[in-house]
Amino acid sequence: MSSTRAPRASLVVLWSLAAVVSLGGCSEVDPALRARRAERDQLRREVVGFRGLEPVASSGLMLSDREVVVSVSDTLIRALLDASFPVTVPIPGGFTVTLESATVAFGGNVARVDLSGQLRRASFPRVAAAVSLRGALDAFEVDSARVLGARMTIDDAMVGTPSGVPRVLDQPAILLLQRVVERGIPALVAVIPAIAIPVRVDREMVLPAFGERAALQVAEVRAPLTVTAARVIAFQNRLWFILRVERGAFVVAGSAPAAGSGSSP
Amino acid sequence: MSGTDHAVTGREPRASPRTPLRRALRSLLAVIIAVPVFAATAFVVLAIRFRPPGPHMSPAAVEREIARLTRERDSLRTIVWAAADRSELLARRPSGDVVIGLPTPFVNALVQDIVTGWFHDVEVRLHDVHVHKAGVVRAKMGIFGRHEVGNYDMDLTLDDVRGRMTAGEPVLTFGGDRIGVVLPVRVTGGTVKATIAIAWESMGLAAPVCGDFAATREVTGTVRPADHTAHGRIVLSARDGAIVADPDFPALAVRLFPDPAAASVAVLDSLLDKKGGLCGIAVGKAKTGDKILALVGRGFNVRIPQKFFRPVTLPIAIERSAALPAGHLALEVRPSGLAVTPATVWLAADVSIGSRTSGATGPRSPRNSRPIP
Repeated sequence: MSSTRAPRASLVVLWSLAAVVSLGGCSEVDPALRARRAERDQLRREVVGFRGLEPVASSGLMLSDREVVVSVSDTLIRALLDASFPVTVPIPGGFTVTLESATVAFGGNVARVDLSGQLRRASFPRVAAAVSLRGALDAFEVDSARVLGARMTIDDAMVGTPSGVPRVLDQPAILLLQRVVERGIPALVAVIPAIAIPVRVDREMVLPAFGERAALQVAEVRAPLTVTAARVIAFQNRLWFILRVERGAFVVAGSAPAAGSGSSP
Repeated sequence: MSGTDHAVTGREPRASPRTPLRRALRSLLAVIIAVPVFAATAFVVLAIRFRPPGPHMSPAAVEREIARLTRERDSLRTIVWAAADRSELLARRPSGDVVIGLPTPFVNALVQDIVTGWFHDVEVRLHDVHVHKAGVVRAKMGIFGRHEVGNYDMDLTLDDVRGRMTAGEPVLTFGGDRIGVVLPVRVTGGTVKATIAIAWESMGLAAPVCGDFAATREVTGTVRPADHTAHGRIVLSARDGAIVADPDFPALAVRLFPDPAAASVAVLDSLLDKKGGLCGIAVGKAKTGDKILALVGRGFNVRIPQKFFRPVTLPIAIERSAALPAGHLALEVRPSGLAVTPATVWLAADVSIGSRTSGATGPRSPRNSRPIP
């Protein structure tokens, strides 16, 4: 009696396991469904982006006499990203993600960036898989070194077929690794280096002194500048930074500000 | 019954030849069951633990949303692209990896800022300018008729002339890859310190009574306000990745008109007036004060040297290096275009990646950065 009951029980468990695995696989790892969801997310971004461009379409790129535009090609951004790789980022669970290359596409007011790399777990159970991250450039900044910069946000991660796992466990392993990477996205975003866009914005305008002993004598004057990025727009395969430049009062070097010599837009 | 009792109580039960096999099979079965159950449990636990946040839409709902978003995206895109095509700002934009565009209203405001800076607290000074005037004075000497009564020799030294200079609002014209500038310049006034040395040599009838004399007096005064118009241009060039605005005003000069104070001139006249009688008549004819005024009244040119209009580096430039997580990346910046259109001043450059230098820069921390609103 028991000799027949045990194999039946084992069969039930195995079928249940297979059902769980296949259900999990269908609902979460189905590449087609994931791709459609990613497409939907991308469309959401584009619609938000185009909505953001509506005021620009009606009023023009510049909204003030104190604005300038700096445009950077996607080719340069990709080259800069590639130059900063490889970058290895530890994520929870004893895994590391090594980012190796990037593709970028700037259009529809979305600065889309896709990163490719490897997911690895060095300790037991060892596993490795290709990973691709889909996201966008965001959080544009002027850093303390007066350089324009941007950080990445990651919307979606896709894990490829892992190595070091029996073929029969590919789907559950992909599902598991997928979850590992998705849970690690905040850690990845925090550590992925900012992109330094090679555009310098000065904080001061200096007109040097002139003619100390000549017929004309002019002291050196300086005016502080405040440069902020009013808007960042992605279209025509380029990033367009609209920078607002505000000049303070010209001040003779080493003296108090001169009244009435400031400018306000 | 007894047979059965015997079998239970008196005799060892006979082991079945299939028992070890069964035990082995049971063990194997237990392993077969335990491993998948353990794996499934672990899988479910991990799957729950690493469950992605947020609800997932059904595939049909995803498709419906994609269709709606696609329609909305296409409609918005048409509007935005049509606006971009109409934009004068983007016309004639040179190509390059990095393009800096300065709309003409911005350049207008910037040039006004720069001009304000150039002419902020500008003092025009003249030192030790020497003017010499000499002449013969002829006077009608009553019944003796018109005679030469003497000659004078006057040295005027402008020890220190200080004028203040300001500029009005420049008028800029854009196009043809240059910016034309018409700039009103005004000398608002100033001060004059001068020394006048006059020597008088009497001649003819006046000689015996006047004799010769020489006097030196200091004269003070002011600089008369005057307006000028400077015509020039601003030449834009790319230098070290930045736009440099080089002003070019080839022939700008202002004229300073010293205005000696009447009291100063009167001091000299009174000195001469002390000579009375015939001599007084003679030197009175000299009208020294008038001559001084005439001498300085024509004014003195002060050429504004080209260097006065100092080049200004605009505050946005293309960097020649970029920070990496560990070190720096050298960038080769090659200017690819500079265009001045009626709407925009453009600077474009191609940037290629150069060598990498290692260092302990580390990933840039957001804490070091100032977020852009």
